[in-house]
Amino acid sequence: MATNESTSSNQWVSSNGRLLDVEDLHVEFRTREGIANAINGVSFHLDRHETLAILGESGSGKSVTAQAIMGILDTPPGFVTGGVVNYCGVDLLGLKEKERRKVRGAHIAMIFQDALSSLNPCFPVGWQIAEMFRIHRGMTKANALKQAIALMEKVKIPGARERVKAFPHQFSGGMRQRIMIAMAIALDPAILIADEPTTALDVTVQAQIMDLLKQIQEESGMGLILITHDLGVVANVADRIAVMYAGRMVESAMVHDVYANPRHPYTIGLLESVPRMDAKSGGVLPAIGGLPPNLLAMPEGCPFHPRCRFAAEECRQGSPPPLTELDQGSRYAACWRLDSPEVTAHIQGGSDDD
Amino acid sequence: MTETPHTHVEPILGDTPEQVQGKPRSLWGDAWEIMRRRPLFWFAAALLIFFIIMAIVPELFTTKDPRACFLEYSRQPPGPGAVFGYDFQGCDIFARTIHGARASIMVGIFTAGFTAILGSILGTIAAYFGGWVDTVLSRLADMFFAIPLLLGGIIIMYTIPTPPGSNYLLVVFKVVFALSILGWPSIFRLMRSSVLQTKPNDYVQAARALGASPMHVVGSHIVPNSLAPVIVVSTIDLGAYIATEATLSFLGIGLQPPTVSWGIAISNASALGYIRQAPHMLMFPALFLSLAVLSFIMLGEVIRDALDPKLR
Repeated sequence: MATNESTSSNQWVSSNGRLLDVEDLHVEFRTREGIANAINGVSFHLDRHETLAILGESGSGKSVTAQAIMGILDTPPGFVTGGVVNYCGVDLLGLKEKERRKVRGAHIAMIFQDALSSLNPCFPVGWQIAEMFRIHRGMTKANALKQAIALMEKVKIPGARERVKAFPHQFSGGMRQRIMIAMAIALDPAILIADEPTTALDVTVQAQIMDLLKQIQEESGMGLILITHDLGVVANVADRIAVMYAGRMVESAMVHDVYANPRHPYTIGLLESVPRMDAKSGGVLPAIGGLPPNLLAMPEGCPFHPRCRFAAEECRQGSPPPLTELDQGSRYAACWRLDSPEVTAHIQGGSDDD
Repeated sequence: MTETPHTHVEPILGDTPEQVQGKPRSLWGDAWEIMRRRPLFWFAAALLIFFIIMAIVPELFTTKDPRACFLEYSRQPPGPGAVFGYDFQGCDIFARTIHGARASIMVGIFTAGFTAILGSILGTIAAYFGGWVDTVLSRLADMFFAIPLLLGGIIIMYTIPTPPGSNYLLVVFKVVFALSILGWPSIFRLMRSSVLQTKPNDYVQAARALGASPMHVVGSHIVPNSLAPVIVVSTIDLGAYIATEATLSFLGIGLQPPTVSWGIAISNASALGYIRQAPHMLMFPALFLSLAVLSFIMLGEVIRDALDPKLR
């Protein structure tokens, strides 16, 4: 393992800076109650130095997308039924499990929402970071531990040398997430997938973690996929936003375009539900009514239509709207009524009129 | 440990190093801290060490040969020269009790060890792979679980004959084998449920996401986090296996003379009439047996209390 996998992502470099190209990904969960279509044709791409935020509420398929890319879906019940996950020219879905394992951690790494439960309570944190080097590079224990200390210093854990032997429960939430990040960047991956990395943390620590991720990204040039439901976190960090709903991508655009001119009614609703400094005081914060659809019983037509205030007859039947190119290909949205006057009224940030 | 001169550390809100104080402590480190403050732990540990030393070097406690018997002393009560008295063959009960520890404790430790190893391995396999593997192993365990320990022990011991003059270890391992075959399902069930609880944890998925192989995930992440209940129950069971061995020997099908064991001594002492005429023959081996069983059970309880965060 030390010989053929000793160098990290450098050997898998794509010519055009494109790291990841996901095309038409389908994932279904085969449950006792029936087949739940968790992901229905998701496509996106990621370049070097780029941060893509995947936004959506619980159950929209954000995490399942990440798990499918990593190949860590629990099978059964989860099955990838279609699509291509192209990493630097190689379709990961076509690789054997043994080869995929070499991609995980070394090329594409992932950090999780709850850093306490993501660390093994039985072993010191230094041991767990060092494990990365021992698994993938066959390093000796002493060398791996030295590297672990260096990494802990890199993610700014105070007193790394002393705390390398401490156990996960002896760290605060923010520190644990730093350790998780240290494990994930240990092998200098080309892509880091962060699955709601700040959800379990308080606000001040959230900002520090995001800053840290950003700083690491600037140093290494890795691509960052940030999975979140927090619009506040996304605004400062992401380059591009992909909004997911019920296992579909409903809008995809550069971050400032999404905030200034949301095009899809779901994105409009999401942005309206964020408290604003310039809102009239005493008003009630708008929310999107209803619940995300049951994946076992998807509504006909556009999956968002039962909750959409702009829904018309065409939205309630037929197939879901396809992702359409807008503004000369700089952004995409999936809605039948993109050009209707009610929806376009929200362009130019006119979302605070009701 | 709060100051590190060689690293440049920015002050970070809410994440001060003062939050970590004292030495790093693992689950077992924590358990040790709790246990060492409990007198019961030291009491149980002292008793255990006493019995284990007795099993390894009985010569430390008595110079008498347990098999040197003089019929003229038959059933003499305790007195000078023989603090525990003599049994009906005229053997020194003190010497026989001391030497009897080895067989009893060997049966206990080996049976507990084998059931723990077999039960843990099969339990981990069943829970990790699930599906038909789980079904087959679970039903197999159910079948063995349905056989009462003592009854099954009698059948196994009865069907495998021990020719007279068999090796001492051979006889001991026959008992160990019989008890292990019947005892593993309880550990299997425990380990299976424990692994099922550990498997969906985020750190197991995190390890997979960072490229660990299935063997590594099981060995480093699942098993170490699932083993605590098995250790507790095995320690408690160890005492129970010693008692079961004594019962089998009492019934005349466990260890066989000339092996010296507490069970055989109790069996000999309980012959009709002896209990009233020579109670010392029964009392001393029974006392040692009870104390040994008690010490293992107490130790198991102390470990369980120390590992259970709800009782802290």
